[in-house]
Amino acid sequence: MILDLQGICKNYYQGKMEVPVLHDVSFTMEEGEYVAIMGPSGSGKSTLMNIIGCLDKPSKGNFFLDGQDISKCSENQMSDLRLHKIGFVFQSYHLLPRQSALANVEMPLTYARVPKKERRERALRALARVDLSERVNFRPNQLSGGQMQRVAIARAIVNNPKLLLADEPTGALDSKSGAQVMELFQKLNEEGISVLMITHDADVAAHAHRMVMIRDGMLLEKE
Amino acid sequence: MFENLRLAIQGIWSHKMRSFLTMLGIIIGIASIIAIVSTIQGTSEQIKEDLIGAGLNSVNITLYDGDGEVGFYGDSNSATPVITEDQKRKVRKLENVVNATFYYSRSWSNVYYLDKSFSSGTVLGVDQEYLGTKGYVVQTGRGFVERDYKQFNKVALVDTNVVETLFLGENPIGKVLEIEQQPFTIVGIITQPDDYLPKMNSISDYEEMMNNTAGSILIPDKCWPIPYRFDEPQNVIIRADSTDSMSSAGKSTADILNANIDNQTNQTNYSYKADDIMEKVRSMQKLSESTSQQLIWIASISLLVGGIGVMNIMLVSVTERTSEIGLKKAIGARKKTILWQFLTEASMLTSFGGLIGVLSGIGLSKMVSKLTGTPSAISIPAIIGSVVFSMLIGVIFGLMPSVKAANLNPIDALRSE
Ligand SMILES: Nc1ncnc2c1ncn2[C@@H]1O[C@H](COP(=O)(O)OP(=O)(O)O)[C@@H](O)[C@H]1O
Ligand SMILES: [Mg+2]
Repeated sequence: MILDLQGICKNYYQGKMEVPVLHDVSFTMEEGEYVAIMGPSGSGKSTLMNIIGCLDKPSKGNFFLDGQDISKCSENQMSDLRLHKIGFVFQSYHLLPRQSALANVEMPLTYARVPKKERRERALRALARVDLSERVNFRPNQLSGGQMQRVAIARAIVNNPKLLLADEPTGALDSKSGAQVMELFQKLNEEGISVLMITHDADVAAHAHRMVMIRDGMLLEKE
Repeated sequence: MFENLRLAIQGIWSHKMRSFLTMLGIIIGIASIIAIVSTIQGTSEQIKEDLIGAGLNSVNITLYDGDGEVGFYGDSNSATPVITEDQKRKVRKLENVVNATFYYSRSWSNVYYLDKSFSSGTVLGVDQEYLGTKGYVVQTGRGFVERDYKQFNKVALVDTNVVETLFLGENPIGKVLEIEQQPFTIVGIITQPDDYLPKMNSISDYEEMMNNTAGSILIPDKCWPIPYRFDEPQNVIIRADSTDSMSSAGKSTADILNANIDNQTNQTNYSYKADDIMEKVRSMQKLSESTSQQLIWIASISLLVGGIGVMNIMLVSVTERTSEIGLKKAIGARKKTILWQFLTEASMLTSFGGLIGVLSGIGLSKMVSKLTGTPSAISIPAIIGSVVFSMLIGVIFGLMPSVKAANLNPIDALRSE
């Protein structure tokens, strides 16, 4: 089991007022699975994703990532989990604008202290996997939206993570590049990476093995 | 590490104008410190060279009345001590004394060439050791010889300053000077080789050099009573065999000379004292150092202001790059990594500033030295210290913004776009 969430609650504080965002969410995911999360805006999808991505800790409940109890992890251990086990893809790509595609993809490897030569080789391989071998020296502003998102995906997989988290990865793309990106996720999943994806689009969600609905911070599984 | 450096340089370079303006405070501060230190150090080295002389190691032994130098010898005062031949011999035999000279000296006396007055010059009554001890050489003509002393020859030597001011460059040899109405024939011109000039033997020589370059006229000491009539105290200069033995040789000489002074019978308070030149060098250097320290404190204020500017810009930079920081944390950068990235950037910024400051400071001190004629010495420790110190400023003032960056919550940071 790559993910095991048991009774996760998350509250935010607005001043002194407690605002509950997630209520008692329990959810599991097997290795190699491809799961889509759907739900209306403000339902708590991103909040759940941040907890799963080890960016945030739940207010209540247990969360195991690849068998590891996250509540016992220090800040540095959480960083290392993000570095080695998880790949993040965001709606707005979040590429560093002044760096080439290659440098953007190499970045997680520098945090993992991979030597320079190996770093380059692995980044080039990751860019080849997302079909961008011809664009390695391009800056983000010289790339299309779909290409930028593929650079972001290359960056997410360069450290060979077990789990790929994508928060509305096609939200900012036209339908054609969106379809390309979806194909890419499917291919990566077939190569063995578990994929958890937030989306609004039912067509997009149809690619997944399994679909999960969130409404008002509560989870409803759907076949 | 290198990655951080690369990122830092990139960050600085991508905002050239802003980075430069941020550095400006550091640049100005470091430049003024370097300029001050170089100028002061140059001056202090010059003072030392002037006072000690280039390898002459000469020490003045002067007669004091109480605490004051016995200066003007116009009056006959039978009580003033006279140095005997025996004492002179003893001084010359001292272990660390290479050479010793005993001479009379008089400023503002009546000297004429034809009807041209030369009262601003100095008249000296010298023994045969004088030229050697002072490092003079005969440029033209001849020096004093045995027979000048034996026969009380009324001959004189003049230095190059006299040739210039009194004879306006004309050859003075064979010309007759009137010293207190007594005719003296010039037989030679003396000069100090360039590397001895303008080396001084005492603070008063230094002042004299500054105030009075009219020149010196030398006559044999045996002839001194001819124009000046009275026996009077002599000045003493010895040359020690090394800079280190200057103080002890001076003291031993003073002891020998003091042995003959009978203060008790005469109800006087005379004594010979050796100038401790090293002591004076040190105190003059200390004076210039303390001045420079005060100036450096003022320059440090500019560094403080510069540091605050760096802090301000780094805070702006952290705010601007919130989303970048959030992303880096999301893909696995540790807190420490972010902290180091920003600290590196801040200290690179200030080190660059320091480096530019050092270069401008050197330029500035060279310019000051050209304009005012004061020497300047480039101090390597000051340069290294400045760059290290400006780096430190970056670390100190960059710390707060860097900690802020490192503590950003990645979720909020990612959301900020
Ligand atoms: N830092 C926060 N402080 C307070 N409320 C928050 C915070 N983050 C999210 N929320 C609230 O939690 C709810 C869920 O947000 P989110 O998980 O982003 O929804 P989704 O991604 O499904 O659109 C929203 O109502 C949002 O206003
Ligand atoms: Mg969302």
